[in-house]
Amino acid sequence: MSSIAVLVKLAIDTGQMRFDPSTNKPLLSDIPLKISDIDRNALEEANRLRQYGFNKVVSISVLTWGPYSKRLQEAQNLLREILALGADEAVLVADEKITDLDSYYTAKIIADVIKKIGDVRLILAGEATVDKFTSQVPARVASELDLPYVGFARKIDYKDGKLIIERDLENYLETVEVYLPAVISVTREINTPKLPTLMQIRAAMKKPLTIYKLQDLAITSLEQLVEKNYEGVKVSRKGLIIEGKDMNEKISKLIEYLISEGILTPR
Amino acid sequence: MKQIKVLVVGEEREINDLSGVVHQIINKFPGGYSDALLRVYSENSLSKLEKVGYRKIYYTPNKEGLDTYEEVSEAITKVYDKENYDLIITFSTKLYKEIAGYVSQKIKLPVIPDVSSINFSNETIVFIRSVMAGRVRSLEKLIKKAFVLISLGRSAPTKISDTKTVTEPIELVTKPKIKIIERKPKRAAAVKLEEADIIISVGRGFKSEADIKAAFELAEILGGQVGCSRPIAADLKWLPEEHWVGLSGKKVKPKLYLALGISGQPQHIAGIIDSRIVVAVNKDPNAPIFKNADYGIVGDLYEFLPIFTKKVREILKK
Repeated sequence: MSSIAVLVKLAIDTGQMRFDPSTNKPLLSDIPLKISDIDRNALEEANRLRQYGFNKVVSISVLTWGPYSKRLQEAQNLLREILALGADEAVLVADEKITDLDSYYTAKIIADVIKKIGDVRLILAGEATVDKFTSQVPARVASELDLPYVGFARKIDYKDGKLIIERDLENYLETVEVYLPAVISVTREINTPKLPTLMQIRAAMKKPLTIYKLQDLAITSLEQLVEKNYEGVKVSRKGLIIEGKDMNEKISKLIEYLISEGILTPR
Repeated sequence: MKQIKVLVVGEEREINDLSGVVHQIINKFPGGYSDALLRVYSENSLSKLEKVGYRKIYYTPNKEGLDTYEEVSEAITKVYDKENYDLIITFSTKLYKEIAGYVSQKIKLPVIPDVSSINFSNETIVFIRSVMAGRVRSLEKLIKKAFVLISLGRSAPTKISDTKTVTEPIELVTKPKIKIIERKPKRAAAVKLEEADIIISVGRGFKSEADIKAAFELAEILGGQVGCSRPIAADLKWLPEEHWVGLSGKKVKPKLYLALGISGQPQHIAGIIDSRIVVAVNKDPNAPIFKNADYGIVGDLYEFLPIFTKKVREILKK
């Protein structure tokens, strides 16, 4: 009996950014959360690998973007989506004390949940999350649990209790071998996540969803390791849609614009 | 902060290329020093680095290269325990992100990856990185210590004549749990999108691989390069990854970015933020790319490309 744990971040939906017009700060507590895209690939891979003697897939999420009271329902809705995507159980750690958590503590919390689950042999995660893109949490979870870590996997094969992994670094592709238990992060190329069927969505409502607070875990204090300040990046695009009676006319106008911008120089 | 102790980790070239930025940091807080940990050892590398201004260079004589995060993590931890550095610095690559996360969990450090610029105040250092698909700048102020991954280009080494570099070997005991079976270098990139002045970028609006030829033709006339969105490189593999523009691909800064049949997902927009002029052509008037473009044409790229190419030829007399 053994489980696969999939780390799923409830990430800021960067497609719906909003900013305070006077301070130019992102309105982080108002922007919707979503399942971080690459974590969907990790979940899909867990579903595929379960055939190799794993009896369940458990998702683990930490509600790092508060405020807790406002986000809790939203987080649970996303967890139902994770369950519809194939996880058998979902675990959420949410607490008033957690906000914009340093990945050091996120990893500690996740490691504690993994110990609580008990029989986890494989931990999967996306290579990075869409909001912060640090690639830190999976490596840190491996470190916290003293497990081997393979990042940036784009192909995973299972053979005789070990994984054969092709991973993608900037300048080379590397094939490595690792025995379980292990922590693996995957890239988007590894698979194409399926959308849940209506049956799966219905079934998700009945699957177990556990919420832990910090007091349920071995974490006693959180401190800030870096002081972060966020500000919006102003990209002022003209957003001009070129009108015209046909393509020919639109292109003529475009070319005039490009000439006046100094990009095209007639010869 | 009174003084600052820095450890730089890397291969010879990386340690050399980081020396400029490291000395800039050291000099702001007089009294500090920088050491280096040479990840791939050779006598030749060691002697070259003695001229770059580090106080001490650690190396692993019994190993040619520390290939895995396990070995590098052990080496960093050993050295860190001796000197209790304030900053560990290296370049922001996937391997170093892995190493930074693994080692920093053991020694309780925050990691600041993808640092694009550094500001100094009297008191401390602020590392700046881009988050939220390029829409937000995160200013991360050093509280005590940090592992910092730099994604600035190389900075020329500053000559520091009065420092005498010493070298010190370290022994490793780690038996890596990960076995490397094969390592295939990727084909050297033929295009350097980061340096292109004009980029013609192709997206899902192209119906077949063969049709992309028209984009190459236009790029050639304009003296530009061809870029693409994620599906073209990652899913369809119509173009090699070196053409891929976006958060997981290349960040570009051309004078003109012409997006053809690209819908404009946030991850793609994150890669084109520094472009001077963005032009978008898309059939769908609601495509998000139009909000992120200076000039937009709602229409079929198959109608756009031949006419635009012809007119550009006429103007440039090519």
